[in-house]
Amino acid sequence: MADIEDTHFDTGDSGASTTYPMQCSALRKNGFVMLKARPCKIVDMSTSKTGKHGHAKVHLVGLDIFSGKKYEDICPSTHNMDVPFVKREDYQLTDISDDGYLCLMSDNGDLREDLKIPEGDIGVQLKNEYDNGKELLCTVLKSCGEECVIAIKTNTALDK
Amino acid sequence: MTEMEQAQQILLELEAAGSVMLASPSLVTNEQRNAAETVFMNFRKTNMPYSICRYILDCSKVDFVLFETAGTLRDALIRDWLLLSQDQKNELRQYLFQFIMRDGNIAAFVRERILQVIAIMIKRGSVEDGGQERSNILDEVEKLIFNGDLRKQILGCSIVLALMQEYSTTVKSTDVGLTWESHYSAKKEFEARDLRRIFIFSTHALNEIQKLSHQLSPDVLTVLKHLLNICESVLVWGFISKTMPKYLIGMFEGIYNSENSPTLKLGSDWKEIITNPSTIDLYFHIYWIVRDNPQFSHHCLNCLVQLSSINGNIWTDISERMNYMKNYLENFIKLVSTVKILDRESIGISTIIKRIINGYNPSGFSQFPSDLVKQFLENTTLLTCQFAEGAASEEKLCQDDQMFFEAFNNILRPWVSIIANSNQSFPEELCKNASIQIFNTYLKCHISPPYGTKTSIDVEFNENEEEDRIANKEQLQYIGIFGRLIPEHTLPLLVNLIEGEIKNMRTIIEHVHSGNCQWSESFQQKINTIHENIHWMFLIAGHILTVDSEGEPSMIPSEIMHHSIKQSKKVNIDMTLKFLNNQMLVMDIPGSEESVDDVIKLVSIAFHLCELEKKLIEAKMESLCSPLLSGTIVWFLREFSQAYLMPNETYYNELSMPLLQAFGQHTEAANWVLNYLLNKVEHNIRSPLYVDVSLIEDTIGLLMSLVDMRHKAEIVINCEGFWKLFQLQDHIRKDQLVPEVKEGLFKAFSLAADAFIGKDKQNEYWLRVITPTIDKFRKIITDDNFRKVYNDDEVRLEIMDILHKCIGLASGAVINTTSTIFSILHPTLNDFSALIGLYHNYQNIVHLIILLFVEFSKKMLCFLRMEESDRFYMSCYQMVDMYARYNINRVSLDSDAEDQCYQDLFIFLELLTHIMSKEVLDLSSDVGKSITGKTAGDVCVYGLQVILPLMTIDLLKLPGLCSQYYKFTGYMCEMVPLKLCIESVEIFKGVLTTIELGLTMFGHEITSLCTDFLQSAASFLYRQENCIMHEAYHLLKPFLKFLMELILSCQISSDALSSTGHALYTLICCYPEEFQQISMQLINNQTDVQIIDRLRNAFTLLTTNIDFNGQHLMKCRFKNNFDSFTTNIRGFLFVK
Repeated sequence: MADIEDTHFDTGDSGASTTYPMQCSALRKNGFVMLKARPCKIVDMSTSKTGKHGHAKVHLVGLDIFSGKKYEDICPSTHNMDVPFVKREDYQLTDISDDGYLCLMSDNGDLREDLKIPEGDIGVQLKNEYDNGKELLCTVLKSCGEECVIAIKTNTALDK
Repeated sequence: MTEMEQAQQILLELEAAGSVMLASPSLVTNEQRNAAETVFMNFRKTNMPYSICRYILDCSKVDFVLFETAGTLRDALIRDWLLLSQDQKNELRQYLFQFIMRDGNIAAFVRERILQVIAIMIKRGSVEDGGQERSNILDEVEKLIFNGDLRKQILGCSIVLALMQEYSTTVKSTDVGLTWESHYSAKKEFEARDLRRIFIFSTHALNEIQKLSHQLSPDVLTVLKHLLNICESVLVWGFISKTMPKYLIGMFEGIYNSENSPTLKLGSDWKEIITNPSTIDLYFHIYWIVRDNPQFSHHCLNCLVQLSSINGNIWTDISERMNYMKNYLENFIKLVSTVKILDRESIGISTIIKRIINGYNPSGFSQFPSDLVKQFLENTTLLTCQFAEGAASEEKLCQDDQMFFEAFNNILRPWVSIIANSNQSFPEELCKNASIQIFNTYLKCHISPPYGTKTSIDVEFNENEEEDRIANKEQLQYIGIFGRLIPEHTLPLLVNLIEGEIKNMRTIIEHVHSGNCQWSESFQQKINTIHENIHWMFLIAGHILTVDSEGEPSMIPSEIMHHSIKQSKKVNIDMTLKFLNNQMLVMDIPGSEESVDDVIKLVSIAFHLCELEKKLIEAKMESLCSPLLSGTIVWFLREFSQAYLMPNETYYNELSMPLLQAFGQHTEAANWVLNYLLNKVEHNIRSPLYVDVSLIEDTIGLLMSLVDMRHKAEIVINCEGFWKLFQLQDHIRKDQLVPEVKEGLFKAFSLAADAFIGKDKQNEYWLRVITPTIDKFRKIITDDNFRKVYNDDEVRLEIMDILHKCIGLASGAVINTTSTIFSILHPTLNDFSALIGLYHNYQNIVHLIILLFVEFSKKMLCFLRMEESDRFYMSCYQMVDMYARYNINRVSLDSDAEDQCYQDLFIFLELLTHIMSKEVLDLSSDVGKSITGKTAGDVCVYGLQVILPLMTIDLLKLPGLCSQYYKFTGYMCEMVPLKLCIESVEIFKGVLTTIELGLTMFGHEITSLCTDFLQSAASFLYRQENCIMHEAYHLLKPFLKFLMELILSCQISSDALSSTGHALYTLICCYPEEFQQISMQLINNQTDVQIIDRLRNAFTLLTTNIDFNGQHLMKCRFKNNFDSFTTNIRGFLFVK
């Protein structure tokens, strides 16, 4: 808890803030928070007190939403914490380049080719299904200027 | 190989394996250990191992091998009992007797095991000869105990103990070779024939020891310990009548401690030994001898506990009983008044007092000499105080064993009936004096000097510890009872002491304010002490002024009402009201001590503390506040407002004018109090102290207590404080109000709506309270830009805020407001379902949407008319579809993807379960017909179809979800079998796959749920005409075989067997021919001729006298057969 006061984040490139402040006590499990300058999802939250009649402190455990790495922090409950803006958007997969970049199309038809195939099983599955001619929908997670494909879904006729 | 050589070889193998088993982990590998274990496992299954076992017992010197050999012998005897001749058995028993007599040095655990084998043999024999042989053996044992040397005496005692052990338990007996009925009748036979005699000769032997005046030698002490153990076992014996159901008998037999063992119920044949005064004298005397020795004393204390509460046919003559008890009481008083009771004795002693009081109806006590009753009560009072002090010092020392704490709780219980009968059997003066002493002691233990004795507050504060209010709930309730008996003592005392603490607080504040104060550890401690004292005194005050009503409307306790009336002659009403309105204190207003009502003084102090807190926060001095104390005050105010504020006058025989004028319905003063409390809620929500979830819940709880009664809500909706709350949530930044508060506030708004009688007024109210939110929602989602900006953080936060409000509103729906709330909120349901599409990547939003549906189904569905239900079901379909569309075939990289799935499915199952309850509980007065033809069951089947593909084995391994899922499917199959089994056969197929897993994979509770499911499905199909036409009939069929195989391979835990019997019966009804085939096949699979025979017999017995016609009577009869069947096959099926 040493460096809570001076935790400060650069604002994003467009000038819009990538985080907003929230009173620590208003945070909840499954919500997001910046821990050690990383955007995290809160997986555990508990309060402790300095003594029986003391004031509460909040103990936060979060998983980095990109790396899955675990971070912890403790903070007086009346203080503000930074909460990252976290966006998830779906894209249609249209192509995979030879060097492993995905060609993605957003809802309004814009194309982007700046994201790589995700690592691990999900990447293998993505490649296989694409090679088998299946229509794939990729969910891109974006926060604090970072982006990556976080989930895929084979498109069924039901979908729009 | 001759038998001898074979035995030699086995012995060598076992000793080698034994040395591996006992070797330290560093010396042997896991594989070696497993191999050694297998050697012993196989040895246990040896067929006819008797001569081998005897050889090993004779030759081996390794205790572990001897122990295992005895075990093998036991298993074999149970299995082969019927195959062995009487001579063989006698000879073996003689041999074992000699074995333990011969060798004085065998390890205790080996001896115990061999004694157990002997006991099983004797018990088995007694089933056949009615106990004849056993009586002969007991004759021998008695001789041993009275005439033998010390070693023989100990051996005799051990035999008796082993025998009693074997006879005492029937439900979970180690001897699985007998049916429960045989165990039970063996127990009854033993009880009738030999138990009393064992008690008599043991008591007699104790008497002999008592006569030895000199210091007892260690050997004599061992005999004494054994004898006490025997007597204790007799006295805690469960004399259980046959009318009791088996599971209750099992519960009784599972209890061995004195506190809970059933009271002793004896027949008239026990009269002579029990009513002889020297028996009681003896046991008390022995207790004096052994009480210093913790190893023995509890056996003897248990005897005293049991002797304190004897009932049954033994007491045909009331005067005999009174004499017995008089003698007991005299002995008891002598004991407790002479010695200081130790912590390890305290629980037993408190239990004795509890049983004495519970054992007699109050009029019984009036027949004892009044001096005796007086002495008894005085001693009980002293003990109560002593235990209270003991409990406090245990807390101070942070001891793990809290024996005084438990004893204190225990000894408080009988006081309830003592106090309830004060004036009749127990002199009132005595009771009042006792109450004063106990109350004062308790108070002193919880506050610090000068008045109290507590010197430290939880130095090692443990955040996982329960709050005082919860951990001490029971004690506080009893202290409340004492306090109400003497309100003229307790209320002024508390007022005086709390005000004293406030005075100390003022000094501190001035000190800090003047700036000449150094913050130090000791200064902080001073503040903490004040907080702690006030905290405890308000806990006590709250429990005196109110009684936990557990769901009933809370009332002003009659003692308090009475006290207030008595006081009212001197009370000045005007001054009282002024006092309350200005949150005054007695110490500030000279003359108020007599002229203000005591209850109002306490409430005024609570208000005063609220004001103080407010001022401290305004002055940025919140570090001087205690969140815990603040929560306690809120709790006190809630309890107070439920009982005292605007009471229903028709409930009371007498009313106190001051209370009525200050808090009565239709008074200015009460309206003022109500508004004050609303303002307090509003203040708390904004307060920096209120960050802890439990404090928030307390505050919301206070708010609920003000709106959940219509006559209060009627006033509330006109209070300025109520609308301040409304403005608060409207104006405060969305992200600064926690979800619990948002939902709580809207629940309160929703509940308050019930107060409007007229439709117009109500509509006006809704227009003000919820319409703006709904309008805002509409505006957002109909905005042309919405599809572009929906993903903006501001928009998402706004949507979540609206969802919280809707959830709160729905959760406050009651019968009168449901229809309106439904018409307001229902249109949003479809919009929210559609939003799942947009926001499927945001789990928290999706969750809130499903939760909104959950609240609908939980709070409103049962009141909805047919047409409304139709609409709700359609929305559910839409939501489920939407959810499915975005979650099926989805693979996620999220680090907590499984957790997310778990949470989704958990809420989903909760939703479906609530919806299903509409099939049972429909409180709408509507008899209309559904337009869509869809029912709750249809929605559930549809929902299940979506859930099934998402329900992976990994998820089912999570216990919470697993039991929720199986409960739901079972519930469904019971409620709407037609829809599940026949109309949605594909889903049925899917569920059956999970049932197959559930039967074996997730423990016995889930096994039971699965067999229940099978039973419901089978009994439904059995009742169908032409059931063979349905696909479900063929889908279910394999389960008969599967279940039978599980039963025969003992893969069903004994805890799930009873439900298995019912399921098996119903399945056989459906598939009688298959049952015949499968049983033939199972029989023919066996290779051993003997086993084939026994298995065939077992199957014949299983179906004897049973018609497979699906009737309840037959099902029960089958279940009995089934119990014998499982006992039977376990005995022989799994041996080498």
